[in-house]
Amino acid sequence: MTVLLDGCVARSGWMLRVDGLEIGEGVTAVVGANGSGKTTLGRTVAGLDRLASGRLVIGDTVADDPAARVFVPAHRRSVGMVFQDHRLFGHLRVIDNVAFGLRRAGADRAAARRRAREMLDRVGLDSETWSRRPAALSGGQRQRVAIARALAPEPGVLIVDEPLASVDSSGRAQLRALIGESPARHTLLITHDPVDVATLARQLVVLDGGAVAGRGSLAEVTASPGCEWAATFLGANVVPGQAQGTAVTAETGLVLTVATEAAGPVYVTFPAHAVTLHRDRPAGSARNTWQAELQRVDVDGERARVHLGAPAEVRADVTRRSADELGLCPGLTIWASVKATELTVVT
Amino acid sequence: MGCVALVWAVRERSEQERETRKQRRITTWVDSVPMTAVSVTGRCHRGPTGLRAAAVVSAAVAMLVSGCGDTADDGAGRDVVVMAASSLTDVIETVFEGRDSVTPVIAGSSTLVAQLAAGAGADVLITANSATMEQAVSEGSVHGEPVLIAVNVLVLATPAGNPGGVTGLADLGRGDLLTGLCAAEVPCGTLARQALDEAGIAPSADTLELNVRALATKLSLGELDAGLVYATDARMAGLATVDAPELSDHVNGYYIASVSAEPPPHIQAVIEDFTVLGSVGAKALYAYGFLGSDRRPVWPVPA
Amino acid sequence: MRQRQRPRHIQALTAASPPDDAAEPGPARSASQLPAALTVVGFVALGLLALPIVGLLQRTPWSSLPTLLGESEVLEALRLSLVVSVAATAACVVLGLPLAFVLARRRLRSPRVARAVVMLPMVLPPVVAGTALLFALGRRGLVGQWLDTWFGVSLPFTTAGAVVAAAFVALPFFVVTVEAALRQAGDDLDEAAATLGAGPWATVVHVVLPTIRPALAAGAALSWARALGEFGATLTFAGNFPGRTRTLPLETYLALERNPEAAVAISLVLMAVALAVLVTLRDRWMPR
Repeated sequence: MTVLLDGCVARSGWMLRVDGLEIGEGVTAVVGANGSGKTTLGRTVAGLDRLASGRLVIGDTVADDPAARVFVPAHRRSVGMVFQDHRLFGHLRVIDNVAFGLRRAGADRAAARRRAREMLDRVGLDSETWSRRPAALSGGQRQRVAIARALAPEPGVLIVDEPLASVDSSGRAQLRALIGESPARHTLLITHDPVDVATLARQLVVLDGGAVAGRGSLAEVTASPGCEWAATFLGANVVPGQAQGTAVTAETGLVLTVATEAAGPVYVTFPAHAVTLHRDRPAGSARNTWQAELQRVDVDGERARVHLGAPAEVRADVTRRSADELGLCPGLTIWASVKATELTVVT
Repeated sequence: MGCVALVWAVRERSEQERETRKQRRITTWVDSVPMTAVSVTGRCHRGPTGLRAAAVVSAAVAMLVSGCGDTADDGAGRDVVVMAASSLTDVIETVFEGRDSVTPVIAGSSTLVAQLAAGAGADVLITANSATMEQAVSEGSVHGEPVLIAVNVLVLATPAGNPGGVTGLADLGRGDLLTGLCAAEVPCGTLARQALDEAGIAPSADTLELNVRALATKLSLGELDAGLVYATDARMAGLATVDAPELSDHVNGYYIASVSAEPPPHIQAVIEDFTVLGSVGAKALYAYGFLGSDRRPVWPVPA
Repeated sequence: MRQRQRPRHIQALTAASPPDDAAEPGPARSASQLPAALTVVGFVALGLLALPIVGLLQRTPWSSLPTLLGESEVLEALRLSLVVSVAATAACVVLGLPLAFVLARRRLRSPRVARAVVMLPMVLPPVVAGTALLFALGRRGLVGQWLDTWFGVSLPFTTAGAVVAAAFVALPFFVVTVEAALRQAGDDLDEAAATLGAGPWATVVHVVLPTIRPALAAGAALSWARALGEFGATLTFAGNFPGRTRTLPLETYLALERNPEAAVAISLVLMAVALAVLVTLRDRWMPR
């Protein structure tokens, strides 16, 4: 079963054009700058926005085909959605928010609540919150309710819009795992977060200015990002490690000093352009300096992306001129450094 | 200070005078209306002259009082507020058209009397029946002498063409027709009830309208099949009338009176616009279908 | 970490709920100063509004109040007023709710005209409204003549006519209130419901109506209060007959001619009822 989208969605003064996008099983991350059409793509699959032309096929059903006057409304599609702003029902208790979809599918109240409790348990919400109303929850708690609510009716396609934006760090790993384990056959993950992409996405769709700029596996898209924003975004380095105070020990042994204290398993992210390269050990304030093996150099116009190997897979963006000056070539051992302030710790 | 004291003394005096005058007047004019106050020629009866002397005293007093506040003058050019019953709307408009010095206040007679009692400022009161004028006098709101200026008769009116096939007053008791009367609380309703009682008819009214114009409007729209309205309103609304001899004895007198006992000339002039033979008011009353007490024109048709 | 505002509709919906530990605290008491002149004139205006009420209270014959209100005419008018106003409110809800949805949710070709038509009875002098109703629904009216010919139904001078008149003038109050709430709620929750398998009807019943419940209550209360006080349109369209169309305001008017004390007493009842409704309403309407 696949989701096949081919067509365009018109909004006032703006248009999303998608040519033959096939969304496979598992988690597909949709990335792109603000206004690139990520949310519109999700809404179109969910049935909240209509195609102006073209066709949307979910599994073996034509869900939207304006030329054939076919449109399956959102409530008849097996699509669940976690909205960026949660959109919980303020008049219902948490448990009844989660039971809502099951009730609409015909489950009786008791059965729906039973299932809702299971879901709430799975997203890790204290049972004391279950009888509260959404207004009495924190942002992170609301996000969990929203995920539990969307998953409860077991949709074939789950669309998650910026799921972790409002969740504090303590709950992120759990929620991320939850999305990764989503029972939905297809999960469309709309995100800004490189860690989400690195940890969850089996495939990637890059949107730029209302069009698909790149698609494929993470490696494929990284090699050919298709647009400047994606290049920067995908250039972000994500290093998993264990934090203790301001020191993070990467799985490969590299110790990075960060500006904020943390503890336990974390990801350290930093943009590729924040990494500087030197032939000799650099003097100066950068705390994080290490020697690495240069694996490959990709030259793209005036920019050169340098891939470093052990002790950590790190990418560095330098200008083509400095790449030439440094005489970079594969196999070379080179000094890399990055300022502590450039590092972001993500749990 | 002296002026204030004088006013006080003067008030006491005039209050007593009013009491006595009021009692005498009620016995005189109430007895004389509505049938005898208007002579056959339409000349209005002016009430007993014996009251004049007392009135002169109180007029002098009134001038003294007003003289304390502002300069005494004959009032020429000052506004005259005329309160008139709503059935006189068109007459009042005709009479005072283009006269900026007169401010008409139009409302139901009882409303006007209530407003006067509550202290509304007015110079002349015209009511659509004797009862309301009587009330105004007994409440001390009106000190001038009421004069009958016209009468209005009730007619059995139907929409043009008489779609309900009304043949007489007794049809007001028919349940299959939509009929309307004025509410008992307003003069046209009081009159209608008297007439129906005397004729021994139990009306099956569907509505008791709060004023005669509203009743006439509903008749003219064909929402009602029959109703009792004044001849003047029936004429205005273009209604058909059905002969009802039982109504001929039931007429409503229109009375005019000055609020102050001895009105200054400019107010007196406004009153005389209605009371004097051949006056503009008398002509307008006739033009709109009001009659003298003998149900002949108040004023013979001018050549 | 990016700080997110609660969505507006949720804030609006939950503003009345008791403060909770997890949600952000309420706004602090403002320290900004109001210009003195505004304060003074504002209180003068308040006094101006309160003065007639004080006048009425001061003229109320308290000791004879039970006798005055116990008069059979008054009781009859009170009973009729309750029947008429409740029926009119029911009509407002049944007709006004769909209308509010149409105004708030459908793309109308000329929404301004539609909205103006809805508001018209609010600004129309009630007597004119009553006359217009006669032209439309009277025995000889545009539609009324067919009602009369086909069904033998004639609305003027009947209790049903009084209900029509009251509903006509009260309807805008319900529609405007509910439409505003629907607009404020937006369709965010509708979309969420749709992705959870709720069809249009289920969404209206299980999501939208519960969400705008305070506005429904407010709109119904406002239109009921308006219907209760309705005078001009009732008189013009439905006439005045005891037990059939003579509602409390008409009774008040007549009592003013007959016995002003009784009029004061009835007015007092009307005012007390309206005040009670508005005070209760205020709490829901403008939650602190």
